[in-house]
Amino acid sequence: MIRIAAIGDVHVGLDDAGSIAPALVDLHDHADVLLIAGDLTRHGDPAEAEVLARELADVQVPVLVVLGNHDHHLDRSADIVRVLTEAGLQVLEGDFVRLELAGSTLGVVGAKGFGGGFEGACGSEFGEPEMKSFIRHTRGIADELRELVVAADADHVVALLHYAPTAETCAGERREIFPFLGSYLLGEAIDAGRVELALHGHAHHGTERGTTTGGTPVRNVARPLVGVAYRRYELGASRHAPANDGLRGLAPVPAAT
Amino acid sequence: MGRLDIPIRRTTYEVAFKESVAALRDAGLPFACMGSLALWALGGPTPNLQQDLDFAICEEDVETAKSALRDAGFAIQQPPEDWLFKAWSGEVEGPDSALVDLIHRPAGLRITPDLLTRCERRGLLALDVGVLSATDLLVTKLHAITEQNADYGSTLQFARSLRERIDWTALAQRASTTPFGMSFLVLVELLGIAPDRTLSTQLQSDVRLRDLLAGTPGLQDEFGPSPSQLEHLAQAIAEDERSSTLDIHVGTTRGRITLHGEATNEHHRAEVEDVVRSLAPGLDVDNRIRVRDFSATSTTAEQIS
Repeated sequence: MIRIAAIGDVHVGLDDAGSIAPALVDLHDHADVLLIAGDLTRHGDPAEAEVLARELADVQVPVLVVLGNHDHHLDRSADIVRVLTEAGLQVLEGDFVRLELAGSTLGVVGAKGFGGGFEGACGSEFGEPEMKSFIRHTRGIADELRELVVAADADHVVALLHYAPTAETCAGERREIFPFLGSYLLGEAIDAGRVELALHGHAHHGTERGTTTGGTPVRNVARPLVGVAYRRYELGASRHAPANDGLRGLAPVPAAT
Repeated sequence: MGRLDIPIRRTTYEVAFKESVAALRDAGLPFACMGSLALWALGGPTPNLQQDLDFAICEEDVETAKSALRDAGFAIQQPPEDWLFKAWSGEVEGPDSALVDLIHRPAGLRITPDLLTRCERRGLLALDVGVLSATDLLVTKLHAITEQNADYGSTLQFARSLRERIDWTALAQRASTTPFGMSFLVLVELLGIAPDRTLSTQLQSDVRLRDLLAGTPGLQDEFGPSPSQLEHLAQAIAEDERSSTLDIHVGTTRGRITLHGEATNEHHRAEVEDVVRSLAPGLDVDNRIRVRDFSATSTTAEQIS
């Protein structure tokens, strides 16, 4: 069984030192890995990433992250990646990482994702260059994600995104902004392989649980939504793990606080 | 007085009016007519004097007024409402009794000695009495409007019949503190009841719209920031490095900017407010942004497969 701790949208500012570390002191008792679903910083300042790195310095399990839109705001995402990588975090930007954990392997496919919209209300590569580049960015990430998912070789595979791969976990946000919250293309890419769980953030006022069009469980772990330091998930706990092919229903959900 | 058209209980109410005025006056208490009596005294329509008579008194004078009226033969009744007491000329709730209401907190507004001394003096049923000013009366009527009883009919009638006696500038300042008051100001201006178009100007200077996002197209809203101006503020909160958040909703109530949503800590919360204040100097900002504690952890793990 693999135990995952996940959170997103921590938006660490220079004034947030000491705000995260205390809640993570006993993280290793509950989880084998910590995944952070983007928007690590308030406005993409590498100094903010340094604050986050210090907050995570004592975490005793691997920490894998993707960047969010906030982490791109100052156009210094490369510096942020460098700061976090030097601090021992793994930043996934269209990457696959395989971890040996508790006797089995966990594969994490990670990418920021982007917007574009969901079935019935999407942008397309049409018209002005700005519009075409908007959708092209999403398609590029989705294509990359699909390749990684198809090739993912691990006992359990999890997708880590910032943007939402399904409208279901955006429900609660105003429908007008859905095209800025995620894209069905990300969901399609996830459904192309054996992903057991997709995690994302970004939609602070969305819904925690949903599925992709193909039935992959999706969890929105945006911190303002879940309201806790992190959520916990267990993979492979069931003796009758479902085959990872075709449509999957949602496993019974125990009450979470 | 003989010209009054009051066929029933005319004597009872006339007598009750005279006796209560005399009792309060002789006790040395400041008081003033309110309600339909005052409207009548100020030149409004003839009231139906079978209804109660209303007097305004100060809260500190309530006990003295009760004993003065009791000594003058009135039956005193304290109803559950704590903003007035009742004096009956005969038995309490008797069919032939006239009712006098003595009010010290009409619609939540406190009657002050200052308010009573600025009353106009009027001759009413051959007695010289103080009468709340038309502006003060209108303010109390506007404060009595609620969501459950949003009836502007009598208030507009009042304003129309006393339009020359109302200090519209003072009214605009005092009425703009409630949503119903602001709506009333719009109504009297658009209906042509108010003598000039100064009310919306008053509101505009209240919120200093000229300072708000100067140069922004669409700066034409007379009654508060427009939706596009609020959106500009919301975008500034997103784009300014101090705030850098999309979690703040910018709204407006009563001419003030209201901020709702979440900040990551107290300093961040203050920074968001600073961004708004720097863009809208002098504007009232109601900062209702929450700061939440995210230190709890989930006690159970969800089994995905």
